[in-house]
Amino acid sequence: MIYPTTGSLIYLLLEIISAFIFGGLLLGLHRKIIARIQGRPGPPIIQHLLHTFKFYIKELSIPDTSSLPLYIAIVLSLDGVWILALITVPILLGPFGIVIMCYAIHKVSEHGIGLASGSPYAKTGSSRAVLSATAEMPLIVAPALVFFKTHTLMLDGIITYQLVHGSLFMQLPLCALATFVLVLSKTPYNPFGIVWGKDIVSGHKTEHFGVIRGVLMMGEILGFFVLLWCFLTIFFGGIITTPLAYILAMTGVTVLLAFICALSPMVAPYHSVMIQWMFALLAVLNVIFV
Amino acid sequence: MNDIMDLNGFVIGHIPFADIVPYLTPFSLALVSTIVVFTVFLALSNPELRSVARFREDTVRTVTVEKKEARFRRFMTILCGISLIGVVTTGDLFNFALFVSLTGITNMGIFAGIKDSHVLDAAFQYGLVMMICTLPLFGGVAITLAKTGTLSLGVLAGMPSNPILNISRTLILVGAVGEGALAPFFATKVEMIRAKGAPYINMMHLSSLMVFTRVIEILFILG
Repeated sequence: MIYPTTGSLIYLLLEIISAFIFGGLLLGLHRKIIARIQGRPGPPIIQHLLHTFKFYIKELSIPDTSSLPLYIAIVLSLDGVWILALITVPILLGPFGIVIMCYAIHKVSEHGIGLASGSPYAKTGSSRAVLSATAEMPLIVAPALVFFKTHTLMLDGIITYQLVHGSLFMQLPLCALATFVLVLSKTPYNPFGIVWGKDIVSGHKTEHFGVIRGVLMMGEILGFFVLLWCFLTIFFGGIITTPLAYILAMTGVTVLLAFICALSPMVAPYHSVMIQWMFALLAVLNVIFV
Repeated sequence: MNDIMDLNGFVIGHIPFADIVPYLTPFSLALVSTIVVFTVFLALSNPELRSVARFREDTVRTVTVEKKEARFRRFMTILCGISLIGVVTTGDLFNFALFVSLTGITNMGIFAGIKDSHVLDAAFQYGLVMMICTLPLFGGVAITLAKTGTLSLGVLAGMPSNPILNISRTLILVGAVGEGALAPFFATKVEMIRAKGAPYINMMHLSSLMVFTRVIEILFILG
């Protein structure tokens, strides 16, 4: 793990800003590809970032029925955890367990965001967030298999292992597939996105507008970036070593995710859980094959 | 078994209290700060005014939590936060099991003040699962103690693994899963969170996932 010094705090801030901009552009590309597959021109690639900034200059409206200060604080916590994950893992190469924690807190935040407004639509979204939390078995299976293989969960240790023994993708392909499904489940318009399904308006986000919607979108962008970075580092750490390689690989994975999101229907809540469990079981099978 | 530093990074600090050694690593520090932040703003939050619409009725009514009920549930939320800090910082396996049980009890307390029958039914079922899972949880801890002669995670981390300890690990996992209402025991939790009182319900979800995160670490240490 690399330890931050006073002099590198500006560097940390620049890293966070660049992760936000690059993550926003990736999600913009994601929307553009989905639109082209569906035969629409689609928004420009920069649109997701513009959309986020636009909310920062909109009026903040808080429903009379909302639970305060939970209604605002829970959105800030979502940003907080992903910034923590960004600093600890991609920047300082610290313990991967923190990403597991942040992923779990993301679920808690989705639940809290839905509950806090008092809206029945948001409440349904939050109930689905609790239900879908049970589908995150790859979250325990993937780190376990990586740990058994590398004997460390520190990111610098995992990278060093791969530089010596080759990429973990070749050794744990089914585990990589399960983690890819985990990343997919946090991508907008994904087939497992039951929490924000259009059948319940916008799910947990239905009542969040204005500045806090902008803050919420910022957290989602950072979360997407961190998960994508972790996936590539843990399974392709022996191949992807330079920033340019990361940019190209992240773009490639985003294109793949966009194709999956555009061509797959949204599944029913229970099917969403079952399918993700199946991928986790596949990852467990990896132990037998390796 | 596996070194704590390979899992969580360097040990920032510890309290050498016999073989019960609470310790802080970057990982546990992140967990503690998250729990403290969540507990503070959940305890400060007022309950929401829940809109309830019914089919075939042209009315939307609102419901909220009564003051007396809110006071009790807030107290339980704070207690749950404190026990969660114990769960994530303790360096002793028995204390871990004890704090996980306390978390389960406070979760029950959060829902005990509600008067809706379907919520109370679900809470009752959760209570049954919780009581049953106390046996594997503490049984796993007892087997570990019988086999190794210690419950200190720091000492256990330096010992070689064996089949008996694998059984105790499985039992601890089953126990923690039941206490934290994790899958496959989540069905009652999904029913319970239909209740009103957003800040208090959110604490239950937080506690489940924090127990989940910490139990992964402990299984790795024992493995």
